[in-house]
Amino acid sequence: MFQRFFAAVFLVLAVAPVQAQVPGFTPVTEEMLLDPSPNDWLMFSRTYDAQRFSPLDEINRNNVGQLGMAWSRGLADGTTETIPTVYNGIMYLTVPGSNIQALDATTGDILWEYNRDYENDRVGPGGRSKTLSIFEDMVYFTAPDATLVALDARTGQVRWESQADNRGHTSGSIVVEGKVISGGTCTGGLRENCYIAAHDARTGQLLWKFYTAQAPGDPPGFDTWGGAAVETRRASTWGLPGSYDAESGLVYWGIANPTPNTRAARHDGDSNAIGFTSPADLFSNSTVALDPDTGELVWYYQHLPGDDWDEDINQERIVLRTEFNPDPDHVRWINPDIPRGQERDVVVNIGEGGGMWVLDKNDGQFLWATPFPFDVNNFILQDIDVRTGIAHINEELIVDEPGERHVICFFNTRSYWPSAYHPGKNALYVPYIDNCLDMTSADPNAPGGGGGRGGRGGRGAPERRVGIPREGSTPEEMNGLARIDMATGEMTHWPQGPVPTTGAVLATAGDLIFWGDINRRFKALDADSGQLLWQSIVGGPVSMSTITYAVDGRQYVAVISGDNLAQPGLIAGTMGPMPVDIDPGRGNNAIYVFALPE
Amino acid sequence: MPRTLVLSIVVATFAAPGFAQVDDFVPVTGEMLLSPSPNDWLMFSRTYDAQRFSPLDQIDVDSVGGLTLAWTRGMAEGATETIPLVYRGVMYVVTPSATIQALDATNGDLIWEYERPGATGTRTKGLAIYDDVILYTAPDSHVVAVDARTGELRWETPADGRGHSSAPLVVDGKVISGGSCFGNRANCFIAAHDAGTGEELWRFYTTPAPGEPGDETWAGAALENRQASTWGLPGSYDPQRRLLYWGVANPMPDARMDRHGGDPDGTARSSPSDLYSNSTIALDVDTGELSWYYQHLPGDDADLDHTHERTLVRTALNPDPEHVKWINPAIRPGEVRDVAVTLPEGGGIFLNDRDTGEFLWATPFPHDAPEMLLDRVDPATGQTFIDYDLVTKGAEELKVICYWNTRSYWPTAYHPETNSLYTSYIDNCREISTVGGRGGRGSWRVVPRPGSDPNALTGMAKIDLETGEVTRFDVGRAPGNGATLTTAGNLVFHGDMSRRFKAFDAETGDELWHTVLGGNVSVSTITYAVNQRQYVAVMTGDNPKVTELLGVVPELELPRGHNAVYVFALPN
Repeated sequence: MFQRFFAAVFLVLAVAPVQAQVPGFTPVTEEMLLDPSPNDWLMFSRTYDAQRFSPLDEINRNNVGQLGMAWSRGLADGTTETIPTVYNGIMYLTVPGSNIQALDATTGDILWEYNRDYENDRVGPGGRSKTLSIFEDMVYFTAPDATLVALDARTGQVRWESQADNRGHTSGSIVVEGKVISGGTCTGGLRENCYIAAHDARTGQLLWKFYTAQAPGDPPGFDTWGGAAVETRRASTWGLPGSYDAESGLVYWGIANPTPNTRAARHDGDSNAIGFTSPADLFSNSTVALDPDTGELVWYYQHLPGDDWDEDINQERIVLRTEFNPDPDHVRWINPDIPRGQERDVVVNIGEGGGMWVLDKNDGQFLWATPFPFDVNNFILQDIDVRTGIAHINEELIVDEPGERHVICFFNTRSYWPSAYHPGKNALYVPYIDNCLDMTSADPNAPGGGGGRGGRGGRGAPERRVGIPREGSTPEEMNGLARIDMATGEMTHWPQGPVPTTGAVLATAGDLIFWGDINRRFKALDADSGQLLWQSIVGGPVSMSTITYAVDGRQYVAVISGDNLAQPGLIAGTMGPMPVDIDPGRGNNAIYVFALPE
Repeated sequence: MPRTLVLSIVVATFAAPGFAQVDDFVPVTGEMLLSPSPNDWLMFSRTYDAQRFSPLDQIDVDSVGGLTLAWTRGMAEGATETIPLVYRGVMYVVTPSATIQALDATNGDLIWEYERPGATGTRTKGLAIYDDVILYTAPDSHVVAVDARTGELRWETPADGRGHSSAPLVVDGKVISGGSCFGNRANCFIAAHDAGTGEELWRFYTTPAPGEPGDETWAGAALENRQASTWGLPGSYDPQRRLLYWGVANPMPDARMDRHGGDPDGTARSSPSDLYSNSTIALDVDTGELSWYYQHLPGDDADLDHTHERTLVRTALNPDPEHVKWINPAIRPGEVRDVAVTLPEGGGIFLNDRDTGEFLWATPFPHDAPEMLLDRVDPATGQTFIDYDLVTKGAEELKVICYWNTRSYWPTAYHPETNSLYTSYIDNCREISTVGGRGGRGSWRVVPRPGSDPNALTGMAKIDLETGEVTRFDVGRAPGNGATLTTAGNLVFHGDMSRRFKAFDAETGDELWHTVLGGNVSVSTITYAVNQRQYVAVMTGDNPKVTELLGVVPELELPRGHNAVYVFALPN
């Protein structure tokens, strides 16, 4: 009868799920992390250099057209901005709800599950952890309740927990020389929660902290915050974690914009309390190079001084070796003192606010930089001193008069979805949205006043910030992937149409670039030509995630679809324009794994 | 330092296009429904005979190993027990939020959607299509027609308080639908509505009233309490005889004593008893008048639901006594008959003649078991008898009754080449306790059949309809809630609660391909073709049976709430 599910007394034996163990687990060594098996994916971008390149080539240009789904598995409701870890055929995954699952990487069948008890029911589903890390027999989780948790990789049982003050956890960790190094947000509006920390991987003991907003006495030895109150100076490491280079012995981390967003709001209403050239409001929008043993700053480079727009020059720093030969036709700022043709070990980054920078990995020396994804007059920087690398914010675009309006390029042209580098091509593959910021400062004297910050009801217009297409862009070329020759800086744009992406880029030795968009398309492109070689359509927007691994000689490519914080703004057009009406749905959280037919 | 205040700013904007409508729509005719294009899937089991057999053969026993994901699309939260329609490259599907979506069947992109106001959860089994409208038995007890091109509402007709967990069938411009009873016989009916206007044309109440034939089988029970619904899969249709064949569910309340004033013997122990519960009824499609009925289980005591599809086939009759327990001695071996086949939730296989309902043969299924409430069938008359020892009589009792949902609203499939019916089965029974439970009214739970093999809890059965021989394959512990699909590629498709979706050789049962989906398979499985490319579609997601069955197989550790449609094809 129809009503049976509602009326009948129905008994189900409450049997606790049987939790299997990971069989034959072999501890992960420092050597494995330094030189990982091509079969594994042991950290967010596979290797310490954050290249996101896999040496696997079973799937290649010739056979990728036959790629089919091996398995998929639905994931719980909530946010997913994460990248799986794979070790010896086991996938360790932060699932929405901020719990951890260990899955058989060939079937998606569950081996163990760690369900964390959050005091506030909203904390777990809202978790934005970007990645796990693994070392010896433990998996490390920067749980969103500001706790660093070590789980037994065999069983999922908690080995230790270490509370990280009130630091919010939307990033992840890397393990270097037995230390779990992690960043976070600056919860509570306090500098004391803005830091990178190292914990002993075996015990959870806190070893050091590096505060990411400068205090008096910190390098460079003078105050770059114009006398702002020290306790509220903020610049976080909310995004992708840092990278590490064993040769230089340094950890490289990208620091986000200073908070509050505008110069005036950070400096008691005085936009001119700080200068227009670096350093200003350190270490916001900077690369910091730290000694992993002590957390001491070895060098820094500030990409955008005294940000006025929330341009976030954080996210991953990619370490690579390249010939130095930047082409003035493609690169706006080139250090003239560097010999042409010289091989250099460099650190590369691309800002959310656009632009790319190439620095020496040993001392941070400026090598070259250029606007990204396109060269425009209303770029965030008006100039870089090419010999010193001192950056000069675009003064014309500072929004500090009441009701002043500017379009600033760029804005979330990329975000926490990582780029990939193919060493065989010496090419970097970066997704972009050709998107700028249309910003109008608050005007307390304007009539009316709508919603938004400071403007609800009464007189006055609130500050207004909305993403808009760059002047001259077209819907057909609004989003794409840029292939950048790292020797010359030559940038080739592969337009992908009007649909933006929140997916990680993956490069493989099969000369393939894997990448998905928010309209469910997951693609493989030719690494040389950008030609579309294969496409599948997954259940929801592609979010971060894309990795490849191998088990028993079979190569797999995994991708996660689901909700993240960037999509609603991209679809609604507030974070960026959406010149096409798509409905990929919300809440379609799942992982999809593809392989060639057996 | 003075800076220029930019007053005029070039702000680029792009115009946002609106959602599309279905282009070049060609109205669906009665002829198309009678003989559908192999490319389309126009009703719940593709054809009026409910065979669920597709003539498409691009995907076959040789090529199926290369099957790959073409697209998938996530769906809203809720229950999903539905089967999509496909017509000329457009998929029409009821999503778990009771919304109808029209999707491009080659990529899952949304064309239009129709949100039913006020409707939330749904157990709707499928849609129907006719002319230029999609017919929908919405969960708010309305029969609804929406424009197939645009998703706009064309008409809606309330169907009293009848709950809608079934699906419609369109025959000769009539939308024919069943429903649940919602606690009153006034809501227990099959109805026909005019597909163009929504006007109600006829009703057939699935229990008789005083003065009607069969009244006496309720032994004087009050009219409003005579309940037996059509909540499950809809009926089938025989255009030659102009008869509809519909399965009617168990009588309610479930227990004999609860229906008959506390007396477990208050209704007959043999058919007819509490008509038309657990019966096949044959109705005149023009008038809704009863042509014949056959009662498979009289005076049910355990909610054994002999509802769901009646599969119409033409077969030689050669039932083998080694495999078939009850055989009508009047059958001439080898004679070819038009039959209606019934596989109840409570177990058993029944073949009846389509003209008269004459009993041909029946046998216990999935196994012969002393716990089956059906005790015997008189082979000559087809009269059925229950095992009164198994009936609950009011004292402190603990009984195991077989079977429990050995199949349910996931339809079976027939392959004409093998003359076999394919079904999944679960070797589960129902343990009933008369003590405890809420308010001391007793309780029940699902248990494996006593003495059964835990490693053979579930399986697929190939039932030879000529001989009655049952061949088993894919035996294990993963219950199937998925529809079975047969194709001219000599394939059987079926998915289960272990997330595995498989293709089997229809002859041998050998597994030829499988993939692993994001969640458990739920009903759904169909095949269709667009631009000469064959697709196989399957849906995953929550349905009420999943919760129930996970109590028996907790080791599956199923991800819950993964509602999605997955579509497979050979590489381009």
